[in-house]
Amino acid sequence: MDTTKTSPAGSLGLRTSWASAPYPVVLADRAGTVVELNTAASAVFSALSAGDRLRDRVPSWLADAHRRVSTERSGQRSDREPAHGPSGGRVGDRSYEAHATCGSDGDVVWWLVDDTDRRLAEEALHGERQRTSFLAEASNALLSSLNVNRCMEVTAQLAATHLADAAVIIAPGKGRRHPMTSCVGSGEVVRSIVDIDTTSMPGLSEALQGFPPVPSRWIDPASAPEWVVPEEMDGAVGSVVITPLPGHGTPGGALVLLRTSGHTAFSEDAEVFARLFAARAGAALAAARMYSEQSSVTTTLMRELLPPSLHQVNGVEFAGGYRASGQSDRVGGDFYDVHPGAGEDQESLAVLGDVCGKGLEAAVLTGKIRNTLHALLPLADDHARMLRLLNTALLNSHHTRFATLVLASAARCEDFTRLRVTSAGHPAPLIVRRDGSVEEAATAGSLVGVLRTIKSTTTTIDLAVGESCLLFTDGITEARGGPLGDEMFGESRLREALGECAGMPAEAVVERVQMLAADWVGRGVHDDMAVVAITTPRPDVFSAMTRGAAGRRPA
Amino acid sequence: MTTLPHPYFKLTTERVEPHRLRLRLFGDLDHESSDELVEALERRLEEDGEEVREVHLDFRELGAVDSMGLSAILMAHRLCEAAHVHLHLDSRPPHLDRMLTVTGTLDYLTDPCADHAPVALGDPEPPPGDRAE
Repeated sequence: MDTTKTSPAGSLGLRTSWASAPYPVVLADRAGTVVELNTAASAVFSALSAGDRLRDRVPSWLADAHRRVSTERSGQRSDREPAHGPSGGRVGDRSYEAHATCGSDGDVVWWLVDDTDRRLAEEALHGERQRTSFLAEASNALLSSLNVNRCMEVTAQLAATHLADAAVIIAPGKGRRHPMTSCVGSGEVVRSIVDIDTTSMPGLSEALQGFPPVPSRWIDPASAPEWVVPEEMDGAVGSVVITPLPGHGTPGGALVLLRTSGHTAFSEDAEVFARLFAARAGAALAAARMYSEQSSVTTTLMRELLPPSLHQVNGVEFAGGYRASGQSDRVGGDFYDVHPGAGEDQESLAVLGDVCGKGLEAAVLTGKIRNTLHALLPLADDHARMLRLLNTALLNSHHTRFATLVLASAARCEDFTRLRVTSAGHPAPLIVRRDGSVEEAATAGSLVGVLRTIKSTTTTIDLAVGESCLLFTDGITEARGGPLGDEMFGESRLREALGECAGMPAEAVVERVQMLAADWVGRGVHDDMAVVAITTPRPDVFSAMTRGAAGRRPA
Repeated sequence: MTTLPHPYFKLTTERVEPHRLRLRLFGDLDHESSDELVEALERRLEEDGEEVREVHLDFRELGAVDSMGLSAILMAHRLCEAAHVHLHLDSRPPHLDRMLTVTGTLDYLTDPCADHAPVALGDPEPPPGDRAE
């Protein structure tokens, strides 16, 4: 190997042009010894001069690239460029791309191009892309659940994995007690309720009040209270940032990001980014909170309004069925109740009704009607009077929301059930006789809640064994469906269906009617549907099914 | 006059005579459209003032009516009572009549001699004469 070579000026004609080239140029021989370098190269590699070994003076990426190119070239005698592309790497705080040109004698000229700015731009772009994709991922993860706790867990997890070493979320609480969710690295999420003084941490009480809006702020790690540092965190806390989680007009809580002292502190970029993340997390948390409040209101109302399970009372069989409108989860306007008679010979009162409209106002009116009727039970021997009192209680000068209902008082006599039935603006109940004939109860009256005076007629019906009286809401008769999808189920179909229910127990009657109406509707939308059947049970069924009527003599 | 069904609810108001206001309803009167009827009537009664003595709701082009629709008609009646204006329900389709009959409101809404005293709250019970059994 020849290490005493001089410049290959003859073959490449460098000497004349390269010395003053604006780019660093280094000429090295096959063995990796520097032959010559220009002024620009001297500026970059300050310690480098001719005769030095590359490996000792330049970064290893360049020395390695030189070795690779030289090895490739040995044995070949060609002037063409090496097969692989340019190498690249850092020199100090700059970064360069190194292009090689090979001389016929095995020398290599390295042309270095400063690509620091391009690389920085590329890095920034890459970072920006990563953040965007993280924010998109975060939004997806955050919005995939409307559960507040799950939302806080996801927020803590994402923040601890991507933004800091540990993340703590403090939610607005009751008094001094605040729900806290924390996560360290990719570890488990820990939920707890802490009893804290929010003023013990700078910026926390403002963030929890939500107003005035406060920017995220740095906190002296030494002043961070002990409770905010998760136990699982390794090492001392190096930096702390607190960022408010903005809600929709309501405070969403505070996000605290912590980094250990071994880690780089938060850059300004990271802080801005944390704020972007906090905005998304806050919005998701606010949506989840709003949803959970709404759903708890609905659940509370529904619990009160859920139809009771019915059974045999004092020798009379009651069964009820309710199918809520599939259109939404809003509380519907149909309801029914059965108030068992106090003694064996006392009448039980069945009520089935339909409040106009849907939603909260309908639910409130429904509750009012059910409570009022319950209070009026001692007057149930006079339906008309009961309805008049109910009507007066409901009258309201602000709106004309009304209800229609049917009252049915039932008492078991020897071998039949005596019914007193009164309609208040409601479709008259249908009676199915033992022979399958169906008749309408001869009762009519005014709706309740709007008119100053109301009228009603009460009818008395005797149900023999196996005969039933069906109370229903117009959700059944007005159910649209059928072969063309737009025909009403109608009263004639209901009568026909009922005709087949002669001799059936009350529960079977309800099931049959509900099934036929559901089949009729198919997948179409329908209103609430409520049905109650009152049946005189067969003696065998009667004795076998009697509940809460011990000692009663079977018919 | 066309009898094609109206996919959307529409309401027109006109003063057919100085003392007579007519509201024509097209399409379904239901939970979505019932407020429009009440609001339109309220506005016209306020704007047209004392002169109007009769309000005619024209149901010739009416589609389906649900319970909220009936509630709106009842509210229209109440508004007219308060303004000492007679409410007439014109050209009622059979399904509307059936609904008014079942709910026991047909007489109340259509009898010109019916009691037009405004709703007074706190009445313990009406006079016994109003009972029918």
